[in-house]
Parts: sequence; C-alpha cells; structure tokens
Amino acid sequence: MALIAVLLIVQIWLLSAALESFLAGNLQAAMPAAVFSGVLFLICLGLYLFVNRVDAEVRLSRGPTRTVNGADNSVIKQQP
Amino acid sequence: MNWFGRASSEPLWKEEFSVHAADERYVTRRQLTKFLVLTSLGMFVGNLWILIRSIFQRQPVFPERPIAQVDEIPIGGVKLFTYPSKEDHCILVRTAESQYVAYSQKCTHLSCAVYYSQENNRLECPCHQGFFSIKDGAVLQGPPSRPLPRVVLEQRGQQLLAISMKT
Repeated sequence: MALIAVLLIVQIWLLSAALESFLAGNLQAAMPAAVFSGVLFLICLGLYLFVNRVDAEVRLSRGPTRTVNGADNSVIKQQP
Repeated sequence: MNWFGRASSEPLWKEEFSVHAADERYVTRRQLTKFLVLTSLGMFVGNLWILIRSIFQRQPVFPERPIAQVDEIPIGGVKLFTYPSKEDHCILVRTAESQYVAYSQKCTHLSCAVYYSQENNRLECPCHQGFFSIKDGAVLQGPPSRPLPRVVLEQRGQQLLAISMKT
C-alpha cells in the first residue's frame, strides 16, 4: 500500500507538471507524461491485484476467521 | 413499567438497526488500496485529457492590428489594448525613445491584471506581488511560474501593429 501511495504521489506531480507545461504552450510534454502516467497506473493496478491474490491465499490457508463485529468471515470451501 | 415486555434498556431502533457506527466507518487496508488505485486511474485519465487537448488544439489565428501611433504615448507611458480578441487585454509600454514592448495583461498566476511600475521598471501584479521583467516578460519574483505572453510588434510608418503572440 505504501508503494502504491508513493507511485500515486509521483502521478499527481506528473499531472500537475503536464498541465503546467500545456498551459505554457509546450505541447511536446503531453505524450511522454501520458505514457509514463499509464505505466504508473498499470504498476499500481498490478500491485493491487497481487496483494489481493496473496491476501486471498493467506485467508484460505488460515481457515474461518471472525471480523471486528463478530460476523463470520470464513471463505466458503468447496466440498469434495 | 415495561409496556412492551422488552428486557433490554436500549431503544428499539438500536436493537433493530444493529449496525455500529464505528464498524460502518471502519476502512480496511484493502479498501484504502482500492481507493488509491482508483485515484491513480483518475490521474492517468487527466494526463490522457491533456494529451487529447494538445493533439486537437488548433493554432490560434493572430490578425495584424494597429494598436497605437508611434508618438502617442510618452517614454515610460503605457497604453491598454485588446489582442487578439476583445476579451484578451494587453499592455503596451514605451520603454525608450524607439522601444516598445507589449504583453498580455493577464497574470499567469491567477489572471489578475498586471500594471507597469515605472520606478521599478517592471510589470507588477497587485494581487500576490508577482513581478515580471519588462524586457522579456520573465518572472522576477512571486508565485507566477510562467512568463507573460508577449505581443509581437511591428512598426509601419507611424503606426505600431500587433502581429502575433509568443507564449
């Protein structure tokens, strides 16, 4: 999550720099900024999917758990 | 006396609506991560929007327009005019006997109107103390990050004409 937050900060900076450059009449910076922003988004998405998958695997291996308010949070296992 | 036969001292609505406010506000790390990824998508869409705008941006047309007579303003004097459209206010400054410069009057910070300070020989924005060079419109001080757009001038006979703009 921290890595995604760091990448997001870079993306915010990139957007503000691209906008500033566009308003200054410099149109050449828009393409590399968009490509780099797209790459950063794909990395964020990949990290999120990776963490979700690892999380699901860990929950599956641990078995049934309980949430804060006591609800059953167990993963439904398929019967053989 | 308990008319409804309920043993609990809690109000009825609390028993029936049993979602705790603390649980409702609880945000898991996964939810926050999802929100961060969605924000990242938003940043990407913003960059794409800038790219599309820059691809389809049409080159502005700058007409030639007489803006002043040569001896109309004294040395150190100014004249306000509009260029290229009626909404674009500009400022013409006579800096020397035969030297004229003209810039957009809109400050590049928050669009306040800049004015010429003769004692400091610079263009000043009164809103946030942004100062611009009279020579090339570059930022000397203050919050503006971009120079003032410059109006390209041409002298034909006794007339000064605005022929284009440089950002």
